[in-house]
Parts: sequence; structure tokens; C-alpha cells
Amino acid sequence: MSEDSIPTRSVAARLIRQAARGAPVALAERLEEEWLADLAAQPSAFARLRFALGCCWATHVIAREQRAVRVRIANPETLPLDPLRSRSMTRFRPLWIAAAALVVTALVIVTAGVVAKFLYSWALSHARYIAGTEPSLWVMLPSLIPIFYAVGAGIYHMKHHPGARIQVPRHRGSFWMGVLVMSACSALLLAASVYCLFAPHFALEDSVRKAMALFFAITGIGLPLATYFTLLTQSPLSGPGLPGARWH
Amino acid sequence: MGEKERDVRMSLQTLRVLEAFLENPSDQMAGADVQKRTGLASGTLYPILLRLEGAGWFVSRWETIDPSAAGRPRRRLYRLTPTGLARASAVFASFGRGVPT
Repeated sequence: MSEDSIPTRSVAARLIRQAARGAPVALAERLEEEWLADLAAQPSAFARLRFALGCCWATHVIAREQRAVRVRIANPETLPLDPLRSRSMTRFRPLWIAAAALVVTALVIVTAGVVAKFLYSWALSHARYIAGTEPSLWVMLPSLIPIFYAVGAGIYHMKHHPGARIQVPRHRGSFWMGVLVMSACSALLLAASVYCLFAPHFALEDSVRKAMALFFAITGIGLPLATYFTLLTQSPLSGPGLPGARWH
Repeated sequence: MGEKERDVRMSLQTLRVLEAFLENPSDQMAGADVQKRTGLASGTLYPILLRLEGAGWFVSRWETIDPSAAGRPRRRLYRLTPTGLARASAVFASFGRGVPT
């Protein structure tokens, strides 16, 4: 083991021990030993760190599934008769639709960056600076592509699975927190759009102002829409949940 | 771990794990080996392994080595059970693909 990897390894090992503590009690000790052993097989310091972070997520998933198993065992009538034809089997979907979730996540990050840069410039009253370096709309436009992609994937999914519903996860707090954050991002973007159009000291050419306003408006409306459609593509194909559109 | 023979969610990632084991059904592999073969992240892989073990498709055991002599810690090895082999083969057959050779 090289000297430069030891600090990372101990960070990774600490992460794994922390992660294993969050696992169900019956599995914690085993998972800690198993993950530490597999950690030693990782080829580089970065790989070890990535492995350890993955184990942190794995703990969350394992704990959630263990809780679900306990609920199902308590209600045996919910167990499907044929495992191969169970409802969970119908969640298998084309990879390009599942990828919509990743795309929208990336979109949220990119859009947050754009809005943050805009608000930063405004807060420092750098209107002249903005005017002097007209934003390249051709650079901003590609960030709209993920919105259309996610909306397209969602429409395709709903067309083929009209019974699709968003299912609010067990951890309702984090779900609704996400909804709140998404709504705040959307509101910020729409506010930015209005500001671009009507701010008196925003010294830009009319066409550029309108284009920026349009960009922010499309993003502000498209982001929650894309997220909604993406949640639909990740939902079970039948069952209770929030209402989704019906296609006839 | 949970009730045996319960349903297993057949995600693309689960299929990749099964495919890795079906290449040599009698082989035992540690999580790190499966990760290398499938390219899956640890956050995805270990829940799948535990899910399949809980459903009775896999069985796992600790490696029988002396860590001090081997110079590394013992690993947890996973292997397909006869039930798992039959179920996994049936899954691949139902997708219209042959069992991986």
C-alpha cells in the first residue's frame, strides 16, 4: 500500500464503519467486515473513497428494504404468488428512461449554477459588466436539452403506461423538502426572467434581454415539469399515489 | 435476512450481477470481484447481493483463510444456490436471451 493512499484509506475505512453502523443491527458487523475486506481490493485511493461513499448509500437502501420486508411479512396477503411475474418485475424499463433521473439531477445543478452567477452579478451591481460581456446564449441553450429530454421520456412513459403514478416514498419529509427546493428554484428562475425583462438599469440590448428572460422562463417552468415527468418514469406502473395524467 | 423465495426486483443492474454469476455458476465471488466484473458501484451492488441472498438465490460465507498469513482480511464470498441458478436462468430465458456462456 503506497504512503499517499493511507490517509485516504483511513478516511474510507472510517466512512465504511460509520455506514455499517447505520445498517440493520443483524447485518452491521458483517457488512463492516465485508466492506473493509473489499475496500482493500480497490485499486486506487480514489476508488477506495468512491467505494466507501457507495457503501454509505448502500446502508440507506439496505435499511429501507429491511423495513419493507418487515412490513410485508406482517401482511402476507401482499406477497405476490409468482416472484417472476410480480409487480416489481414490471418496473424494468428501458435504460434511456431511467437515465432521465440522472439527467434532471445534472440539470438542477447546472441551472442552480446559472442562477447563482446571475444573482451574484446583480447583487454586486455589475450590470455594466454583464452588458460588457454579453452572455453567450448559445452556451446557455444546451442546458435546455435535458428539460426536453426528461419531458419527452416522461410523455413516452405515460403513453405506454397510462396507469403510472408518482408514489410518495416512505421518507415523506425528504420528498416534500425536495419539492420545496424545486419550487424555490423555479420561483427564482421566473423572478430572474421578470427581472431581465423589466429591470431598468439592466444595460443590455433588447433582444438579449428578451432571450435571457425567455431562457429563464423556460427553465423555471420546465424544471419542475421535467422533474415531475422523471418521477413518473421511476414510479411503479400501477398502484396508489399522487395523480398523474391519463392518456386515452 | 428475510423471508426466502420472495420476489426480486429485476433491474438492469440485478441482471448484470446474475449474468456475472451465470458465467460460472459454481464459482464463488466476493463483492469486489463482482464489482470488477459488472462495473457497478458499491452503493448499487451490495443491496442487490443482499436482496438476492435474502430471496434465497445466493448463499454467502466467510472465506476460510488466515488473515495474518494471507496478508489481507477474509472476504465474504457469494455463490448461486440451485434455486437461484434455476430462477436466474428462467429470467434470462424469459427475456429471450440464452443463459450466458
